[in-house]
Amino acid sequence: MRDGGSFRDPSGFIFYENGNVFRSINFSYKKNFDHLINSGLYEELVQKKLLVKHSEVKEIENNPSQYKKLLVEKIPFISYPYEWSFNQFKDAVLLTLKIQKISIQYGMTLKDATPYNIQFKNNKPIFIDTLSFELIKEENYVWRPYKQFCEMFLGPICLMRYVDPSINKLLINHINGMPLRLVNKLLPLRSKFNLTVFSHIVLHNLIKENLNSNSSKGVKKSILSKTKHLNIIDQLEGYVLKLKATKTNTEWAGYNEETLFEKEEYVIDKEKTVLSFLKEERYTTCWDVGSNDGFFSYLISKDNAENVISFDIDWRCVDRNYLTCKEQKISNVFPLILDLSNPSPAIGWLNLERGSIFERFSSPDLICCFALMHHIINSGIPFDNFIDFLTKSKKDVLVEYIPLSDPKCKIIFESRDEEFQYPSLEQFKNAVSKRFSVLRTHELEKTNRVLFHLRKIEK
Amino acid sequence: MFLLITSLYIDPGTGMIIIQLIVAAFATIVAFSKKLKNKIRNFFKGK
Repeated sequence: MRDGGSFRDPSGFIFYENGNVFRSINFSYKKNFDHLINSGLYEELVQKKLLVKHSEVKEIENNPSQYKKLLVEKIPFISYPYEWSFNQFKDAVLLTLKIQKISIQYGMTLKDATPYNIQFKNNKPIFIDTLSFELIKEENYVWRPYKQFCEMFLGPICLMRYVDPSINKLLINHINGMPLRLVNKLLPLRSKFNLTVFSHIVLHNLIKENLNSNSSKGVKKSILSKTKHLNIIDQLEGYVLKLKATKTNTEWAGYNEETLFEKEEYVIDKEKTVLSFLKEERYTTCWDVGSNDGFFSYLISKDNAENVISFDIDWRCVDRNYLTCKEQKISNVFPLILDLSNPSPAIGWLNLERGSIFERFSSPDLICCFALMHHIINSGIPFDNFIDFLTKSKKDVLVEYIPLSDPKCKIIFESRDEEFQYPSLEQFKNAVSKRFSVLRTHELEKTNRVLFHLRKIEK
Repeated sequence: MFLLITSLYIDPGTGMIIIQLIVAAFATIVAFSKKLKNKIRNFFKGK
């Protein structure tokens, strides 16, 4: 089956067979592919874990345009730039520039610069498009995807730095990158005093908007030298390297630390309960939804799950989680931004190009929702719909019941009228019992919160 | 609106060379000033 998003590149495409990922390379890409392999560029990139590995498959399909068929290293979880936190996005930008710099040394250049060519494996960005490399022609180092780089990478990360770190969500609407005109309008004046922002965004946009199709005819044969091109890449790299996420606090960023004192016993009890509930359990994939800084994701990832997807709505929490995973070399926890009340949709051509988050992250065998249900109900999602979501698990669910009398609920639901419906513990039990068997329950210390271990009833 | 209409009729690659030549000039200034800064710093450090 051909990948729904693999149609833009005339050099080849991705397809799936028996759970494996293959890449078909067309004859039109032969020269570039041979140089990539024979020059040593592929080897260097793979050795440095910057590019996915592949192996050649000898049998060729009945396709006259096919030059080679490759079995490609599988990436377990496909994520998109609008689901990344600031530092995940920044690492993706830096990887692209690093690969461009290395490629230049081998006489090649990237022919496209899009974050969709990058995925995360073990919390490190990795380049997944083997067909993105092309030979440099006639010593001319003009970078074809320069505008694409500015619209897909530089513009969004500048906006994330200067406007709002969650503004990369706009990439859902702008699949081909954020128009420079828009980036220029949104960026505050103070950011434009920086020479990199000024030249690559402000000036770039100004020139682009004042161009007409005849104005560049005279310079079409101009050549950009290797040194000049490398100066551009160095300047971009130096600028992005120094970018730091804004210090503005978010709603959930300090939540665990701020409330640690008041709920120390509760957290310790919850930790013990989770470990005792899962003592004999081993899962392949766990979704920890509303994971905050990832405390429980790390706990479960130690002995109970091969992989934990650590979802949170708050970019700062996801960012902190990602940096912790990187620092502590935690490779089986994958932090990602998810707004459960509005998850990433399918986008692009016929809505097939980039899948929705639930298409990409197929059913886990454990879903954890700690201290989450009251927030879901608060966002207007009826309780029964929340239970529907829990049934996405193939096997088990750990869910924390939060009573309406809980201090946090009192704050959240203070102004609700009489029509407002919130499930009592009995109603909660009855509702989950229709879809799950209740394996264990435990009332957490110093609260009236109850932790449930549920198992899906097989139909 | 006029700018939008005119840009719709321009190939996305148009002007790529002009833009990169200008941007490269800025990047060269940055690279040169970095080198100069390092040289001055090293001179005062006695390297």
